[in-house]
Amino acid sequence: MSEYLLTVKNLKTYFPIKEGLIKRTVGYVKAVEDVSFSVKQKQVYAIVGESGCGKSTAGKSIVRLIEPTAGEVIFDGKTLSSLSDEEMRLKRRDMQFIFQNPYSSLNPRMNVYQLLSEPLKTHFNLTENEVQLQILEMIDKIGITEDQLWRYPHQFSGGQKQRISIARALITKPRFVIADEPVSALDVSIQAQVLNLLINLQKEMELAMVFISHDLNVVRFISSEVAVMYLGSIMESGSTDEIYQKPLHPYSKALLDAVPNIDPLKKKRRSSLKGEVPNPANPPQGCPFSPRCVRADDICRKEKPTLNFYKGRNIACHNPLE
Amino acid sequence: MQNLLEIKDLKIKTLRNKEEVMLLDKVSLNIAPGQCLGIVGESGCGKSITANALLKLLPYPLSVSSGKAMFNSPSLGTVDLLSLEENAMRSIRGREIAMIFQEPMTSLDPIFTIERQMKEALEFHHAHMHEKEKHDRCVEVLKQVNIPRIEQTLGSYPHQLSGGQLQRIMIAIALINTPTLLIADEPTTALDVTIQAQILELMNKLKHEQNASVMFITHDLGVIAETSEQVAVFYSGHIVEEASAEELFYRPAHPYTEGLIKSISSLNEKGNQLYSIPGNVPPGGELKSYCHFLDRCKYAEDSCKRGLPKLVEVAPKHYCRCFRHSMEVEV
Ligand SMILES: Nc1ncnc2c1ncn2[C@@H]1O[C@H](COP(=O)(O)OP(=O)(O)O)[C@@H](O)[C@H]1O
Ligand SMILES: Nc1ncnc2c1ncn2[C@@H]1O[C@H](COP(=O)(O)OP(=O)(O)O)[C@@H](O)[C@H]1O
Ligand code: SF4
Ligand code: SF4
Ligand SMILES: [Mg+2]
Ligand SMILES: [Mg+2]
Repeated sequence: MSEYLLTVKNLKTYFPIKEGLIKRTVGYVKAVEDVSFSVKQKQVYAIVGESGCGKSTAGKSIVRLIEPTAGEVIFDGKTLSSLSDEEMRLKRRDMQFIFQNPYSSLNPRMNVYQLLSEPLKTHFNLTENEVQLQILEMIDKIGITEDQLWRYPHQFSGGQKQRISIARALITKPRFVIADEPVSALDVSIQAQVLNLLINLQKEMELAMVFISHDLNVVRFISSEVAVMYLGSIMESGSTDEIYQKPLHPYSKALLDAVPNIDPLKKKRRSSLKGEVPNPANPPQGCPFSPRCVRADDICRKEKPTLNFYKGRNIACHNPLE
Repeated sequence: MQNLLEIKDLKIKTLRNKEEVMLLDKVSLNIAPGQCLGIVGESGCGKSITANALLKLLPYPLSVSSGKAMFNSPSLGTVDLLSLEENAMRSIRGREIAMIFQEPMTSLDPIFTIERQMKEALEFHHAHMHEKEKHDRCVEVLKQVNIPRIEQTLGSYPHQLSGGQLQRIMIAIALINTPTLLIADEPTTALDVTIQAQILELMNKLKHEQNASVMFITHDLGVIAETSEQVAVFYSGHIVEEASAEELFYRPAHPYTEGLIKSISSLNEKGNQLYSIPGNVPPGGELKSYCHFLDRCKYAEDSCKRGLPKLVEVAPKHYCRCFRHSMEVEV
């Protein structure tokens, strides 16, 4: 048995751009260009990057909510693309997905009891009694009371709705979950309460988790390893502590430098990153970061760097920082 | 008047089921020329309605119930914004006081080009400007906010531009009539960190170049630390603390401010649990007759129920509304 529960190799997902009456494909949005990483059992692995860099598409491609264009996903020793529909259906119960927006991901016509019993009934052959027991056990953990079981999503606050989404994803006792920006839609003070719940459940259930976020502070808190994404590719990956202490990729450094400092005496801003993220339908030649990188040279503008092992982590750069 | 703006005892009410309910009370604030005042607090605390009241932009059924907002208007002299006729307000709004909102998309009209919308902002106050002069002014302010390919951008429609570019254009429109006061209501909340850093850098630069005063509203203490010299902390319709940014971050006096700072710092410490202030901001219109923070406060005592603590000076130029620092009760 490999020490990794999940391995993603050279994942690529393109969306066709269609035009005209007959909807001819005129190009591709290269949402995920090249993503490779591995997640150990019980580990929280983060994917961080700015909006549009392909985090959600990568996450959904891994659990096949979107069909990837190329690449391999190995879960628990099995290559997912080789599984039959029936085998994939069985795997689904072990691999869950928590969406960013609790407002749209919970069916408004189902009450909490129905929302939580549905995944149990889909994946297991249980009596109504057993379903009830599992639901009661779960709501106790997420701070929802028994009389609230008959309420509908709109009767709950944003934080409570996201707790219910988490419960819905975890009630089948999966071994692996992808959480896509699970707190980004919430007020800061509520974020901490939901994150605490998620991390407690992750520990208690010994879950492996891919945590997707654009919030660098949250990522530092929650993950032991991190992959920094830019324009569909991983720029740097490795130990969260090490990367935050000393980023080696120019983009990771720029991203970390941009986080506002809460100490007013340190507000003298280092010069910020210029320009904006290029269009993924028309990415630059060579290194995707080259048009904005202060260290870019001729090779950078010609050859796309591959993700290589360097000083204890993985980095895709021709001229990494010292 | 030495200050550019002096808000005195602002009170805002609304109608709910035909009954008046108070949303904001006892808000007094000063902004000095060239100063950036930060306003911080969780959502629903009353930050936006305070800003909107100053420009007479409160939506029905909200209204100002009492208070003054004295503004040193370059054209009208010292005036009370809250009692100004709509006609006079029109010569101030968008010209002497400009506002930037969180969602640039909602403040721009999708069916007109950027050039048309920028010129409109200009024409409103300078009816007799020549076309060429107007165009030049548009180009000038877009340059100031670092827009690349200016001519192309002027001919674009809002949906053709990114969120970061749109927010720069909103800032350009705000600056086009060289305002003396800029009110920025969560201008970077919807943006990515690197774009947020660019916008904050830009706002700091413009403040220095134009010597404009800024009222910077945000729920993010990090953004406050990067921009503001003076900070007012709002909680449930009241100011609970006000001090210089340094004083506030290093010596917070109010338990709410302490909680806000602690919840950010705990993110930076690897630990098992994040710090969070228990409970939620109470819904608007429930202004109580005792300390509003009582049910979330870890220092709360029975005696805190004796009334609403008064906002008092607890250290030089440092004001706090809490019985731990002063026994004075608001009357
Ligand atoms: N279904 C889709 N069809 C076409 N383009 C898409 C689709 N979903 C996402 N994209 C594009 O792919 C890129 C990556 O999007 P996404 O994975 O949502 O990024 P992130 O989650 O990092 O914000 C973006 O340019 C986005 O516009
Ligand atoms: N149009 C409105 N109608 C009724 N209540 C409103 C309206 N706008 C704001 N409020 C109430 O006023 C209070 C303060 O709101 P706001 O100033 O928008 O908060 P903040 O900007 O600090 O998040 C809240 O309780 C909110 O519900
Ligand atoms: S490869 Fe070149 S352009 Fe890309 S990040 Fe490294 S130094 Fe910069
Ligand atoms: S007055 Fe009492 S309850 Fe209110 S903030 Fe101070 S200590 Fe807490
Ligand atoms: Mg996403
Ligand atoms: Mg607001």
